[in-house]
Amino acid sequence: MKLRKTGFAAGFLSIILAFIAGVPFSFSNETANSILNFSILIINNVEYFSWGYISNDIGYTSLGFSSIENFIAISIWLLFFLTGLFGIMASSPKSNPKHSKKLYKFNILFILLTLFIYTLDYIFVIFNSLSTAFFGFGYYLLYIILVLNIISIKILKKS
Amino acid sequence: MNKIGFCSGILSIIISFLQSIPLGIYFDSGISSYASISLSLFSNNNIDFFIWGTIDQSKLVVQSWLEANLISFFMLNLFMIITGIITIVGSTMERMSGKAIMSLNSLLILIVIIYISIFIPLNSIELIRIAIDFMGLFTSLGNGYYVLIINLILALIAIRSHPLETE
Repeated sequence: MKLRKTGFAAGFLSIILAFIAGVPFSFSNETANSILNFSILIINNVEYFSWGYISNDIGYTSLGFSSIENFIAISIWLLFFLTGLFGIMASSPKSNPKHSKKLYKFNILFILLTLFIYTLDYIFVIFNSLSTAFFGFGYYLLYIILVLNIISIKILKKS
Repeated sequence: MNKIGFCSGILSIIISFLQSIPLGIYFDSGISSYASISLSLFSNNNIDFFIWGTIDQSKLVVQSWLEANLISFFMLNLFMIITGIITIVGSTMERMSGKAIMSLNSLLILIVIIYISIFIPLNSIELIRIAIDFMGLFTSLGNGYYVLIINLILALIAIRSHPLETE
């Protein structure tokens, strides 16, 4: 059994969303500040990520065990992290196809839940205030991860 | 391969060496991060205690357990490093010896938790040079302590789910 590339790619992208804020995508001297930002939502110039938000170039996070409220932040972050971990674990060459299928299904469930949360957030912001809200690149990356997980399940079924 | 055991080993290594887990990593003339989750076990009088040592936040002095206290070095730092290494090795061994290593892993993590929760408050002056009682300890627990508890749960699951080769 070979490494399942689509599942691995989905897991890797989820891990990137869980930990990384942005990556430079142009190394040319002429195009300065070419950074691919993984923000999921942008509301009033505040960029929201899976781990927290950036306002005026300062990052804030609520992840931790210091208070009960933090568990909501941890739960949302775990949706991203576990999707990554499950995707990579399920794609390893020696993994049991039955277990892998279950993990991919969990991943799809987690991503749909995340998309639902952020879409609802966006709708509330748009309809209830005068704030400007946009989806960031991270939001569209979630759709890519979802599609990659669906493809992984289909490949598993075929094999 | 025992994947849960492997995750437990990685978690042990992370907590043995890192001060915090970086979040919101960006690449601007090197690697930086916007935020981080501190892995301190507990804090008292502006001093954060980690598996590898202490940080005095008021003077910004970092001290490893090897310099501060040898018993704490053996019981915290060395135990966790050994746990991490043997668990990563043991997770690849699909034999009874691998399962025994998983049991040893959970036992060592349990010893570390007991040392922090019971022995440090009982002999705090001798072990960490600061007076701290049970109440003081349990009201100032940090993320590192909870990560240890999660690690113990993973280690216990890893014993049950350890794969054995059938001939």
